[in-house]
Amino acid sequence: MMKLSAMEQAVFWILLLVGLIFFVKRIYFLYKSVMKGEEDDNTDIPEKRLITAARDVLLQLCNFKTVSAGDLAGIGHAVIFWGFLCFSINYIIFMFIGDGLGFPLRESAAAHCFLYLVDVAGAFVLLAVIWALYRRYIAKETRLERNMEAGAILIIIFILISFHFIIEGISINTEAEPFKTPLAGICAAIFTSSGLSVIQQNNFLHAIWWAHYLVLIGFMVYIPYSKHLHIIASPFNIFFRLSRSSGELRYPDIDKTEGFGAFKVEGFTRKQLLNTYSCTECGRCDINCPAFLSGKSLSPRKILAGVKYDLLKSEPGRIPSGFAITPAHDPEAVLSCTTCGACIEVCPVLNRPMDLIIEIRRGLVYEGIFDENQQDILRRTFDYDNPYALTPNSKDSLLEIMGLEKAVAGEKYDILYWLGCSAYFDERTRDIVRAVSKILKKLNLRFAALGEKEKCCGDFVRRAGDEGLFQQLAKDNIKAINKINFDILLTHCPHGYNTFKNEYSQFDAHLKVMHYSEFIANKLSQGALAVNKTDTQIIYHDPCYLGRHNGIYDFPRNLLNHVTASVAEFEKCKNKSFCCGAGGAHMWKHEEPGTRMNDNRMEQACATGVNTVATACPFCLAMLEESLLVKGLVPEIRIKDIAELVDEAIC
Amino acid sequence: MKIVLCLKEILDPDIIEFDINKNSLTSAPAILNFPDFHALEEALRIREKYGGEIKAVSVATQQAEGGLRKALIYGADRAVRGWDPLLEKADTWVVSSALQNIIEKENFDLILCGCKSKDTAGQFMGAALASRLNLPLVTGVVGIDIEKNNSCIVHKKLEKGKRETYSLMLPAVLTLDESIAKPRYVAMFSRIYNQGIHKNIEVIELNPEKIDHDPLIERLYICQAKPRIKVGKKVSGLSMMSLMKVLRGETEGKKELFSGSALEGAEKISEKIEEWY
Repeated sequence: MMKLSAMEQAVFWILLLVGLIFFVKRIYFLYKSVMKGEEDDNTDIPEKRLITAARDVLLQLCNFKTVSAGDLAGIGHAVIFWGFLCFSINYIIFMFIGDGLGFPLRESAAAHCFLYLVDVAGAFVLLAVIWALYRRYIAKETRLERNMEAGAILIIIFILISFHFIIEGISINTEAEPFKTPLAGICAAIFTSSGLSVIQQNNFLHAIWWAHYLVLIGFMVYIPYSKHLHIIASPFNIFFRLSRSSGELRYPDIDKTEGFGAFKVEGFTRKQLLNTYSCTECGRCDINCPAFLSGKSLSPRKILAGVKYDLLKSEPGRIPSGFAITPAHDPEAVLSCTTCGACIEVCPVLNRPMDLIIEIRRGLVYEGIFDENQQDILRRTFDYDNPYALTPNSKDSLLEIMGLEKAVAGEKYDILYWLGCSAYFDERTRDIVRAVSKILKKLNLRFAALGEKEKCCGDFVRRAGDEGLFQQLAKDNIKAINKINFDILLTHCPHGYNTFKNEYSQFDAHLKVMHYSEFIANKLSQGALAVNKTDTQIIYHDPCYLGRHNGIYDFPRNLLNHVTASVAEFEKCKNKSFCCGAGGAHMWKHEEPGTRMNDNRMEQACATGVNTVATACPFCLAMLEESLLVKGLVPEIRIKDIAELVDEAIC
Repeated sequence: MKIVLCLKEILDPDIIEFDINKNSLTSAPAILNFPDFHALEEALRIREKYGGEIKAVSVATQQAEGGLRKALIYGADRAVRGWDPLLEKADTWVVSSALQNIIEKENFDLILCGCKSKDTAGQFMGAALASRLNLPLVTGVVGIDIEKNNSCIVHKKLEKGKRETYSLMLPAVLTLDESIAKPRYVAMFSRIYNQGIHKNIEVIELNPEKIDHDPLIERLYICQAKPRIKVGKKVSGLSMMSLMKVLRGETEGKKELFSGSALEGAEKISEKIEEWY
């Protein structure tokens, strides 16, 4: 308990008021800036949102989901969070009400209990901060940046806590009936043994108390100016979490609004702008981003930082609002994203860097800024309705070659089989079609394909940022699909699956779509298909659009378990899967400078020593096979689609 | 630099087919003639470099004004369409007279045409227009440099990749080869698209009396394409893996290298041939 004179009390409250004015002004500015963005549909059921947000923040669930054997930093974060929560309550009760207003609050048993808790929490926070400093500056963890800001924040926390202990320690020595907490007790003992008189200690206490208070006020003002803003923004970010799957991109109403995408900061949604405040630059998105890992210039963290810079510096009188050139808008970096969704999966504050990248891509398309390659494929898709420049006639003739039935209106089909552009073009993908159609015939199901009516599903078009073309393709496809009477829309391409399942609902088409892995796995478990189990070891590569974006991890594995006795896993598997490098229009694009992603993945496969790599996506298949062929790594490795494996095993 | 761009809309040659039963062509979606599209791109590049204005002109019915709309979407400043019902079955010479009527009203430095249309492949419009307007003409242009003193240097493509360079005074008529510039892509609802989609296409009533209605040629009939003997290996259906093999020369055919003098080589080859057959 500090006894402040009336004069000191006045200074205390004036300083707090000044600090608060700066703080509130900045927060208001941040609020105004975020409200420049477009609305998003993430305010439904507020009470439920409040409960989940409170749970996730207070119990640190979002943070703990990132903790793994290789990265324990989340535990340190939780310790600092809970510790600082105790300290915040401590400051409000004992510093502002107790010391500032002169109420003796420290005498009750409850207060003693709480002070004890603060003491223990402080000790843990000190240890956690030292660990954090060690990780950042001595162990030099790759995902962490060694800049002033991060160090300053950690050191301020360290100073606040150690000052607290010094104050508590001296208070024990100077007060008549002190309450002794363990760590403060040690401090007290140190001061007693130092030989300072009580008056000297009392003067020192005053100095330290004021220093502590000034650091605290300074920290409060500094928080909204720094990346530590995340302590204020991220709870809101978690409250306004998006309910849609990460595979579903935002629908901009291009007919009604002028322009689409983030050709200016106002083109982002409020949630996306709030993402930039919530980002605390932990770098988890970077070290999980396949583009970053393969040496591209993309860094999701820098994208967010760049957008935040654009947003906050584009106030009147500063950089004009609009398409400011910052690292966020380096087209090469933005275009090297494969939209694999790894950044979304790992972010502890539920940010979606991929969504911001897509918005920037849309903005680039809106402004007519293209990578030459991207321009070519988009024009081909515009002219021919598919990225391979196939004419409608050639699509029909393929159905004849493959012996598939062409779907016509008026007939009833069990299954409408969506072949996808790659099957019409690529001989290797047709092997998947052959295998799937053989299985379907074995099951005695009537199925048909659309042939010439089948246009590009629009997955890559949307991810390349060409929203207008996507919406046109989607509407055309829906029209074609609605004419056919069928039970299930079956796809073998996870990209098509994702688009039909998540994105076509934006055009009021609620299709019953199934990926063949789910369909065949169900049939296998029902016993409708008899297969011979072999003991070849198979390793499964998770396609991003099946796994991360749609959560289908188990069906392909179930299916493989029917076919083989041993299914191996990559080190990076399931939601940590490493992208093959084909997503986000990269199937048809030159890869940006750096190592090739498919080579990276293939090296990971070779390292496991398993000779059969299974996957469930024609693009992954092509990318991995290409890497195998070009690098000539291990000739005995074979890449197979899961349907082919089932087809081989059918008795 | 005031550029007049002559455009033509054609039926998509990739889709259109000859219908034996009706003895005519099947219908197909109308698209902008490819070389005209490339000429449009070159016009846009000239405007970006030297400033000025692009006017797209076309002799077309209202149904066939899609080409002009495309030019506007891609960034042309104005689009002018002229039509007279008497032009229904006109040949290039007559159409050039109609075009002359439209263009004469405009102020221009350069007239750009595609070198040929993909449907009739006449390669004649530029020449006819130059003759009617009495202007210098270069055909098959692959490069244009505008000079300061109201002249320009143009590069023309000859056979086997040879180039010829001309200097000519402006105004002039140039017919552009497809290789001059690769057209850009303008996305739907993008900024430039939104600007172009709302622009008006000006319609000019052509005075039939001013048009020279005497055709030079007359079309008699149209018939089916001759069947073509296909040789070589079809690569379009190959997988990426096999395609790579073909590209690297690893085809299924056997490959053997012989060393030694020419005579020895010849003997070995003849031995091999005998062996195979």
